Amino acid sequence: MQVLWDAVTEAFRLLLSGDGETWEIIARSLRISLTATALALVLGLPVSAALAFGRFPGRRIVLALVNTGMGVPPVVAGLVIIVLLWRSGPLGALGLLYTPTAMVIAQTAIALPLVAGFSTAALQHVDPDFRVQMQALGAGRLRSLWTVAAEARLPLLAAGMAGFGAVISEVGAALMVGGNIAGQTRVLTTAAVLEASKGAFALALALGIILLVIAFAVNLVVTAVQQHGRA
Amino acid sequence: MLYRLVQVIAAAVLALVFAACGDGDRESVILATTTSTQDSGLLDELIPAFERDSGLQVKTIAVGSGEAIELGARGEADVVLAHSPAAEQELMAAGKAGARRTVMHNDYVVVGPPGDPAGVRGAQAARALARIAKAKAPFVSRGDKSGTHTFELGLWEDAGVEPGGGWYQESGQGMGATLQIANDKDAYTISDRGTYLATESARDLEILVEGGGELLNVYHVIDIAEDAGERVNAEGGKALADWLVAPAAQNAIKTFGVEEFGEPLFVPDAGKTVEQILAGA
Amino acid sequence: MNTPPPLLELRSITVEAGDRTILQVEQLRIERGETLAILGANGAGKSTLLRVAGGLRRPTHGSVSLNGRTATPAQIRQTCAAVLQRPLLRRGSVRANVETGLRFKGVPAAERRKRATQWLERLGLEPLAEQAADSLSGGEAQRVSLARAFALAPQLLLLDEPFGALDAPTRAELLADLRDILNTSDTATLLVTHDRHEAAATADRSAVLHAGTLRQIGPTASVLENPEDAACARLLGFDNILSPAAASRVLGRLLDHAVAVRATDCRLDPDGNGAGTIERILPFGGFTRAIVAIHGIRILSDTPTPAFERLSQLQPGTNVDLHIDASEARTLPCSQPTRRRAKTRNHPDDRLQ
Repeated sequence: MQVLWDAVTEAFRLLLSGDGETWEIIARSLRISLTATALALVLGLPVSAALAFGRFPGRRIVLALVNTGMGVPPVVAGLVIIVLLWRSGPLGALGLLYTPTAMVIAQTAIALPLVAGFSTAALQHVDPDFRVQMQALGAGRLRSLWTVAAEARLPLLAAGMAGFGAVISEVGAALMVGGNIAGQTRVLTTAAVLEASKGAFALALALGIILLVIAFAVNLVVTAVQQHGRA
Repeated sequence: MLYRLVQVIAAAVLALVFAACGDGDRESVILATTTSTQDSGLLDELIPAFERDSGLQVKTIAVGSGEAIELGARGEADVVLAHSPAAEQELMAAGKAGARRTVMHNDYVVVGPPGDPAGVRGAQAARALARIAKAKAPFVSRGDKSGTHTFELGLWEDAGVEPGGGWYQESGQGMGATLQIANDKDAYTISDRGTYLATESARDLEILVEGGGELLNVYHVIDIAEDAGERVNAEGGKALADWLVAPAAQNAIKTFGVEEFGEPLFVPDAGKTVEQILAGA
Repeated sequence: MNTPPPLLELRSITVEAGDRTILQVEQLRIERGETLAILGANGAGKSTLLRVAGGLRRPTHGSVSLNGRTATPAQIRQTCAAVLQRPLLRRGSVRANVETGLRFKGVPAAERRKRATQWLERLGLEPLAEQAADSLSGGEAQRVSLARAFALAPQLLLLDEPFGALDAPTRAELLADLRDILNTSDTATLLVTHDRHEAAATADRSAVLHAGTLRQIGPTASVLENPEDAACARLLGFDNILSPAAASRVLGRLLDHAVAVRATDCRLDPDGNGAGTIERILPFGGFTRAIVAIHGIRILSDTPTPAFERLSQLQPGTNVDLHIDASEARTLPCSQPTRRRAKTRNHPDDRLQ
């Protein structure tokens, strides 16, 4: 139990003392995971709109792929991305391996199926005639899609939160494609793994606690936005 | 209309990716090394100094020795710092590397509970392991194909024991975590001295076997040649390797850890052969 | 040839779903300012017709023209506004919902507000203007839905069973308000419904849609009173549809067409010769329905309940006579005399007065 207590005090010490490295790692974790979530939303929303409203050959297959993708372990996603990004791999020329960009790419790949899957369900939950009704009032194709999205904004936000929650807390892909390089690609999860492997369990746990606090804070903000205006 | 939407999405994606980048424009060198050098904190001292001196950016990938050498062999790393002689020689034999140079050494120690139930204190290393096996005293192995693990397996072979059974446990984790597990289980394990000294949570364990050429742990740096892959930064890799064996780095290695642990964790060996080190040790 | 082209014209429209043809309309015109009702049973293709007319569904074949020119669905949508069966409101206030369409069309805020206020008043929604749309009752929501469409001042208003989901009193009130608005505006309206009373209350012209094809079109009163075949008759509230042979026996003269007659036009006479026997009595509140077997044929007869109760002691098994007003019996010119025996309906699914 001593370790737990040490971890809690250590976590607060790191946060409150303004420890430069800790805050740098927090900022990096947020930047990478929020960017990946934003990318997953930008890419996933059109996909989910197509899946929810489109009727095209292969739709069921894509839907099945998305649903399967929702359960893919981050390590597997990381493996695929690292093979692509290897110097000897097809994207090796970009020199992205062991950079934050590589982590963003891997985390986007992890978040995308989650965001697309939950968003598709969110959009399908809106009455299919709703979009027709909006078009019948003069909304164009995109505008009518937008109104459906606005109608489903609460579950869509939940989709975004699911994506963010998955990537901020994953370690497999971040470690693999980022390399956990100090000052460059070390994020909260990989730092925690490193400290644990050094046997510094209290510090590792402290980082875990910080991770929870950060995820909680982000979700609190999003939930506040989500519930804003709800009686 | 749809085309415009696609354009907007593409633009947003690119903007986000580039915003996230911030991966400096500096030329980078990928160093594949073992977890023990990272866990000891030595690299945190050396690498920033090299980056200052050279203007290069180093990406340190800390993995097991086996994987580090494999990364070098496939040209995914530019320079390898490892302590797994057999695997290193294979890499050299494959002809994809530049030079293999000694950088430093420390030594392995057999640590265990102060009570020493198997009675190994002061024994010769292979004999100590044989006694542990005979007593079926708990032993925690890294079990991760790291340099230390490879070394441990070699010692078991010398001892004529095929380890296995309830007393022999594989942690599958790094040295620090393995030490902590051994600490909690009152078990024996083998560690490099540096990590043992740096791991506070292994304070209950004592060094029971040390010294002797048998337990020597020599680190070599190997710069990777361009033949290993088309995008290898051979020049950068060689620059880091050269720097590690140059006086400035060697001095830093000599003093590293003295302040914190009262003794150095590594002994600089640039220019020496393994035989010379053995003779000195 | 100086007559202006119709506001909207459907030409050679076919809509297929899978390998089924669900709509086939050779021609349908909607003139400026008129109200046209399309009557049809569930599944007749009414909503499909409305959606094609409103540019909300692309027909498999055929074209729609606006003011004499072939128009794309997008062009049609700029001219029309639709109210679908269920009121589909957005999150937000009632006022914001009424402004929705105006927002889509880029109407400036001040103008939006003015027009919304006008229609909120007109439909009695003013007190609810700032309420959340999801707190409304069904009838209120449908009012908002109507106000939202009217606020656009469309040239053509499309109403898809707008009263279908409402209870009777709410429906009657809203129908009356709608009629007032339509009478005083120059908006053309296409109303699809399964209820002839809605058509009678609002429409200048009516048409019957059966199994995806238009069967009758003309002035509402004439269409409602002159079904041309059994399917139309059933939809138009003729409860008894008799084959030529049955009609000949019941009416006592030889007929070579099927005949349709409303149950309200079949009067029970307990003092007559008693050729018929009451099989069942079904109290419907305002009226009471008797199922009478006469000459081996079942006939429905509706009597206002107070009048029914004054008739002495009618019960299943009682012998009665039936008087059918010959002037109210409609021969069905398009029904085929050789078809299988037409059946009378034993279970009403249409409201009667």
